[in-house]
Amino acid sequence: MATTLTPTLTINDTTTFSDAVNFSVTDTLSVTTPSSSLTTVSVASTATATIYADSGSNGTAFVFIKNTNTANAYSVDLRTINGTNVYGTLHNGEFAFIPIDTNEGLQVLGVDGTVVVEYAYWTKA
Amino acid sequence: MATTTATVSITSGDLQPGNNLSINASSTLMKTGLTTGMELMEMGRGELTQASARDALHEALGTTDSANWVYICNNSTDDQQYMKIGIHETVIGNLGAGEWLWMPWNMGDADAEINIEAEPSGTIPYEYAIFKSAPYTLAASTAA
Repeated sequence: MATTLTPTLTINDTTTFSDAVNFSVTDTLSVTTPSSSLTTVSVASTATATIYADSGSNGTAFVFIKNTNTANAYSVDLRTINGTNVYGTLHNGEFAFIPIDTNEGLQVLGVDGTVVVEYAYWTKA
Repeated sequence: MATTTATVSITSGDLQPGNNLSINASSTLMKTGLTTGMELMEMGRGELTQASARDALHEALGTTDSANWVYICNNSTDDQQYMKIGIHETVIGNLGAGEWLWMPWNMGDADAEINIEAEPSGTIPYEYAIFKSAPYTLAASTAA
């Protein structure tokens, strides 16, 4: 059964430019299984952890993922499972909300130290 | 210091029985090196046509990994239309009508441009914002 997910992003900056940056966007997503409620995984440096497995078929899953690390400059790379192509890095406290191609998957790669990553995902209905 | 703050909230009243989902996260966007805030921003709107195939929303810096952030929203109201989002030849995922993403982008390789593509037909209005780390160097003038 499909359920409803409401993600909202707000970007705010009143210090950098003469005109403040302040915008917000929200959406209503119909989501279904497979899904994962918030969970954590510990990723050591150079080790990988699967966030969303390559399902072998096309589809979309929305992933919330956060680097919960606060000490040292440890980070995690985001990369596809299919092809292991890195496209972004989450540093301390940073998060992302990304639509994942279920035929590509998502994994994290630890950089410089052990990082605890918090994540959840929901498959688009 | 430049202080750009990104905040996300994810809620649901029917996803978990007996427990409303409420995820909240916030972070300040920092340049590469994580000591100063980002000061370069590019934002705008556009229209993407299926006929144009895959288009580069932004070229990559192509030197070393850097800290950059990307917001893209598919502003179509047609549920059949979606945007394919990729980095060079790597497909990240699809954004349906009204959907958005917020993701880091390393742009550390010349072949790391952000690609967007309209599917399966027609024209899709979109908006985007890219927050970038320096260094950015201007191209040399071709004037004689």
